[in-house]
Amino acid sequence: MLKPRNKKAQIAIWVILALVLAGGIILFFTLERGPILGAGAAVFNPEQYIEKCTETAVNEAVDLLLPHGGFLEPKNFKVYNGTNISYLCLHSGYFRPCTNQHPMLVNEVSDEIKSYISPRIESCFGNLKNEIEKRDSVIELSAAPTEFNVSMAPGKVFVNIAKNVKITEKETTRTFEKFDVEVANPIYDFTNVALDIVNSEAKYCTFLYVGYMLSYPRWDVRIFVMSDSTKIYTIKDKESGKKMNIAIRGCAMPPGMGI
Amino acid sequence: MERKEHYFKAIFEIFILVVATISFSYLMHESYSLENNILIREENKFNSISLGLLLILKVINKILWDEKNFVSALEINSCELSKTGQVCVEYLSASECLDKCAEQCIPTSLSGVSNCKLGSCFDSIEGTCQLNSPKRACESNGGTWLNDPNGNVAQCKKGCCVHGNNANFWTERQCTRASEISGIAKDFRADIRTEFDCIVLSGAQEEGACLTGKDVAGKNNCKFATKALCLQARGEFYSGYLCSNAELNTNCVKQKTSSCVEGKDEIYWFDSCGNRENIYSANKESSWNDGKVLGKDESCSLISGNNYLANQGTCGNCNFLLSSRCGNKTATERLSDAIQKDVCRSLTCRDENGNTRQNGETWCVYQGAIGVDGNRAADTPGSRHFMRSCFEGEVRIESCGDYRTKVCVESKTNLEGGGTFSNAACVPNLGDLCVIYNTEDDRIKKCNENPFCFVKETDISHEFSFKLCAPKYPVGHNLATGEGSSACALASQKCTAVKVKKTSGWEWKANEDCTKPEFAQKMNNLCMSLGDCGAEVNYVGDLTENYKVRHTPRLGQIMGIIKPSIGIFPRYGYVPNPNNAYLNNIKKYSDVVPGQVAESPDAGEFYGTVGIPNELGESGVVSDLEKAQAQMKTFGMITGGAGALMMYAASQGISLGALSVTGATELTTATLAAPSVSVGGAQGVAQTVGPQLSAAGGVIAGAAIGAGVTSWLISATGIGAGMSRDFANALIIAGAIGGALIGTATSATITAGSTVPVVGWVIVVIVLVVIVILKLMGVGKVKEIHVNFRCLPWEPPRGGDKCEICGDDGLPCSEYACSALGQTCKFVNEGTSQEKCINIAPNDISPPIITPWQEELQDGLVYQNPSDLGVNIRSSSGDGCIAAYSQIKFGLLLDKYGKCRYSTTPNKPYEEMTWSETEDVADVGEDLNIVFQKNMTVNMRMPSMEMLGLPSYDPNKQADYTMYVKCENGNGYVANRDYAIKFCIKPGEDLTAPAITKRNPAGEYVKAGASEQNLSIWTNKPSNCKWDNANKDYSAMLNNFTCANGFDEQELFGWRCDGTIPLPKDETTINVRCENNPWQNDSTKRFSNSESTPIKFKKTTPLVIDSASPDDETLVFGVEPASVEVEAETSGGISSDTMCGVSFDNGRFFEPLEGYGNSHSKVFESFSSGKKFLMLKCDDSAGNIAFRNISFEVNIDRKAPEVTRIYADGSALTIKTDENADCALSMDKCDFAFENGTLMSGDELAHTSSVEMNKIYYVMCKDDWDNSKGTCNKKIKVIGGITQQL
Repeated sequence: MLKPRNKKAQIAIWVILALVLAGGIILFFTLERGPILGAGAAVFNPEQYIEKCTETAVNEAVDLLLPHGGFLEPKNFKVYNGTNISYLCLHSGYFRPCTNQHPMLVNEVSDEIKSYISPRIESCFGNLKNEIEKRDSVIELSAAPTEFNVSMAPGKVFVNIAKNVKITEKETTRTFEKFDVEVANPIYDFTNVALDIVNSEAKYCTFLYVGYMLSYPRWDVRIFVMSDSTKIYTIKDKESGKKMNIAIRGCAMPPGMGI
Repeated sequence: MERKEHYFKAIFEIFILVVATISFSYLMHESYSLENNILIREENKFNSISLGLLLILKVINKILWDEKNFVSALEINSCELSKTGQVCVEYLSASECLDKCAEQCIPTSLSGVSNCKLGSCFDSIEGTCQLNSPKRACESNGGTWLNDPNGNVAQCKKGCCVHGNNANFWTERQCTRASEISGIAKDFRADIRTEFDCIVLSGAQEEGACLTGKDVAGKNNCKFATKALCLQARGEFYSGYLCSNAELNTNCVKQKTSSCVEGKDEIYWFDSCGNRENIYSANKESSWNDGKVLGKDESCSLISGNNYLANQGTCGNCNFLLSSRCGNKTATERLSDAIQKDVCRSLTCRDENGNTRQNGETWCVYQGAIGVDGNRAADTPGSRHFMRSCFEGEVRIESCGDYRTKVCVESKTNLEGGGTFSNAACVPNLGDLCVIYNTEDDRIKKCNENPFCFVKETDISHEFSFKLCAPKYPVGHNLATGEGSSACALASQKCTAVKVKKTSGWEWKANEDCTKPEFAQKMNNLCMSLGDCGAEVNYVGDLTENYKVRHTPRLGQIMGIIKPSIGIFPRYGYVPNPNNAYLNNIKKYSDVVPGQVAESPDAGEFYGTVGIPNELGESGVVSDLEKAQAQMKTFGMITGGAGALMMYAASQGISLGALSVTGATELTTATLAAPSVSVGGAQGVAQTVGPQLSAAGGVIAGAAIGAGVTSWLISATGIGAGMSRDFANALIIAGAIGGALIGTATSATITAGSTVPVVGWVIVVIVLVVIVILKLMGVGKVKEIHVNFRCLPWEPPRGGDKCEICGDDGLPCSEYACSALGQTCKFVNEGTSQEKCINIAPNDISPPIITPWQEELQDGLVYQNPSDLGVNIRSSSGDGCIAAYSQIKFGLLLDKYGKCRYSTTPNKPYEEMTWSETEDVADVGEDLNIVFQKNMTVNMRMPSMEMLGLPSYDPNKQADYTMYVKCENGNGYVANRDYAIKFCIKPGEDLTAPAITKRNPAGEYVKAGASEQNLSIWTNKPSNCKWDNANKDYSAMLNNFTCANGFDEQELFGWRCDGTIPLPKDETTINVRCENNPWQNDSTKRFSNSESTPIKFKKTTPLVIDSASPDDETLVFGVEPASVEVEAETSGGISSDTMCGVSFDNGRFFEPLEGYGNSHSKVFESFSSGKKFLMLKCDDSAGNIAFRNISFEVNIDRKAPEVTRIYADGSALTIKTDENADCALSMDKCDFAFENGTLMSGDELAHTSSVEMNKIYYVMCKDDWDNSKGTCNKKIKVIGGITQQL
């Protein structure tokens, strides 16, 4: 048990504690959290604003992509339940295994996300500008179109935005050159399951989805076979509840004797 | 001179003696075998239409199975990118390609387009490897294309990537990528080669307590984690310890709660700090295990016997693979300790029969009987195979392909604790191949080997029996359009039953059984085995009978009273009596047979079987019979060579009877002296023996002549066929006796002075009288009854009352299933939650309205006066009448789907306007279309004037000919009045010569060394055809074709004539001409070709496989299975038409190589290590075949390169390896990432790099297959130019 020697010492200790506490509080708000946007808030965090805005755009994009086989507007598709589902693997004739139509699906999905969020990111910065200016601050945005990259990883989508932003608020000026956004989203994992299915179909003409589900309980895979031998795979991520559809046709057999 | 003459005569007489002995037997045989000659016919072969169909199937098969041929056959165009975004597409025509391709069309197949070559696409960032990827699709999106479609390349080699709590079966690059993203050190286990082993590994990672500092009270902070995560968090790892272990001095109190864990099956205890502990057990102490980790196997057991949830109340050791997983407790499923909220919940399911199914179990479901029942295929139209699965307590269903294009196969595994576990799969239905086999020589062998086929035996009579290869699970066809139903026609056969007039009346001689009810039944068994054909029930049990049979009772009928004879020969008709046993047996096929499953076949090799034969095969039975026939003919030629001579002599003797006697006398006389001279001049002996021998010679010669003449007369008059063997023998013996007596007497007259005995002549006269009487009685007359069976595509029942029951059996409806339920059923909203089978015309009682179809009317014809009642079809020239016999074409349009029939008799009920079951005449009634259509094209030949009851010789005569048509709608409603199509026929006769429409073989090349070639030609009208080497008039041509000229013998390409052409030289050209009106005796009414059609045959050189590779070499690969390209170069044969295949099983099956011409190759991707023996076979359409065996060894290099020597020359470091390799240096650490090291120069055995003195270097080498030790090979330091290994 600590036992103070005299009152001065006790006061000194309390003063020190108070200073430490006050400093901590100041540091907490200035360094750790920064200003946040809120009703009546006096401080504003542009990075968090862009992050939030981008995250919304990415999630919107993914929600649009997933039902269509990884594409916003599939060109080569099969209509299932009123949805155009992209053929990821297709042989239009009979007997032959399907041919991989999108072997670089991860890249293509990234590109799709990028194309969807591109105007929205511009809007994000536009809205950011409005928001800043509403606060009687000055914001300078580079006039060039916003450059950004989209990449994916398990459970994540990375959006790395390069944009020069200079915010002058009262007498403080802050500059930003890049905004690295990390969005928690299973699109990459979905894409890899889809690629697994495609590989199996391209090689073996089938995908043993029951065994797959037993091996990887996270995924629920359902199949619907259409009369033209197109298989619609619906992949469900039990963790997120999201679903992805893909279409595959290969190793089809003709009705009757094929004449 | 005289001696010589006598010698010759003696020899001749001895010859007669010998020959006569043999020829008698032959004559006897021939006398009754004449009737057999009638019987041995071609009925047991497929009929010619079937033959043509098989040829078409063969071509189609070739197209379907081999895209190369597809290219050559259809001039395919390729497109790298279609307007719809499809990469690398082939189009059947240039115009289609131009219409659909977004880029330039390339006039070749995809295999000829480098950008469309299939390989593996490697994503060098993500590390994914995508198989069967076109080069363009890969590279245009930044991928690295590798020339192996199956991923047998180093970059695609997978191993187990362990990261955090997970383990994934990934490529090394994927593992590196995961490490880069997560920051967890890469842990790639290349030695783990299966996904299963990797998954197992993910659950076997080292776990324990991870201490991460102390709290304010001085207690250790603890997290239960894997070693890797702990080390990453810079914690202190206590392997196998729980955080609640007292030794660790933590605040965590054991077993505070229990719950499920994400990604794990079991229920776990949790300590007060929230750390996972061991698997829940009601026995807490045992479960805590003194604060040490307790493995799953050591934990409590949930299972007892075959009860997977026996200890559900006390144990949380759930097992997903054994149908349990942690989940919220329910009213009936809970732990005994009421506080705990979770429980091992059952994941089992109840199947459609109420049986328990385990999690992950799959099983087959069918919609009726399947497979082969006895001797016929049982799958019903509209039925499909389904696979059900049990997953997490839910039963799911997958439809194997529509139209039964896939078969559900199932196998069961016995479980240790009792019970079984089913495994099912939908596999491609190779039933098509079974039908295709029928074009091949070894069809029965192949049929027996293919698990999707069975040998369908049709054994109706001794002379009408054959074997066909048929599918066990026939693929259904498009019931709405009839598309794909052509296989049915294979079962359309004609059996010719033969009756012969005997002295006792008419008797069956052959194929009597074809006229019995069993004929239709057995033929229908064949018919329904070929697909959705004939009389069958759909999957809900509705029977429709889709076949035609003539001269025999229909199914479900038994023969009643044979109608009384009309004239000499009776008409064959039947009074049908119901006998539904057969049909009832068919109806039962709509019932599911409990426990019946399609067994899992070993069909892997068949999925690659695409070998196409070059010649039409024969059935075993047909072949046997033909051989038997050929043998008999051969026998006749050998023993009957003399017999034929005798027959010739006998026939000469008829006209030269007197001379024969005289001649014989003279010969006999001369013969007497000959032996006496030849036998050492023993004159005395000759004089003694000579007359006796002479007399014997006369007897024998007379007997032979008498027998021969009698036999010939029996044959010539045709009465032999109506005689019993004994009676024919008696007549011949009588003739022989008569002849012998006459011969004896004749000899005696010359040599002994005897007179001609009257007895001999009396006998001969009697024999002749008997023959004449028998002839007058009509004995030997033959009547052929063509018993036809037409197998038609199965059609759904009329109407659509049952459309809506589609799916009521709990199995999803489909286009095929729906269309099988009724003519007016239609499947709508496919691919939506609103899929339905609806009746599209529930109240349609109006029959189709017929109108003429202008576009289909043949040039030179016009429609006149079209109305609701009919239309006139007239020639646009002259008086509008159409010449008899001429072939015309016109079309009819319906305002709705309908089926039409016509008759030449007005106002006939629709039901009677059909193929006559008792008559051979074609104009009684017939279907215009066999499936429901909205338009139909009619090809028909105008009837003759005689058929219309008018003389054809009067050129001014005209006759009206009317077809009365009625159509029914899908509900079976028929118009009550005829639609009359009227023609005016003139006797114009057929003044034009025939035209040859097709020939087979079509090409000029024939097999090397062939001595003859079978040739078939088809003409556009019934004709007789001849050929000659010289270009002559038809009448002067010497060689006849055998032509089938009956009106009902028309085939797809017209009327067929067959011939065999000798090929004495390397090139032979024959000239063919044909003459029309074969039924005309008046030659002035027959017209032949004024010009010959030359047909050239050119013998090919033998086909040779000049080279093949790989052969006698060792191939080294880094991954298994390995991809090996098999190549063959050929010469000779028909180079443009040569196909090659390779067999891995000593010639049982040949996988085709790609390429027509002289170069053939294909990459095979599944070679394991070891010695390989392959057989190559190449053939061409001329029938040339060449074989070659090759062998090679596959070695898989799994060994990392070894560093064999290290030395330095100043700062230049040299490293030598024991195999070609790349080496890299690093100063960082031993297990550095190769790509992060400094690559040394040299990629073979020597590797150099400059180094700094006195620094430590790590050397890592990897070979061409990326084999490396996974860590450094050497740790070295160079000191003063000397290398020091550390």
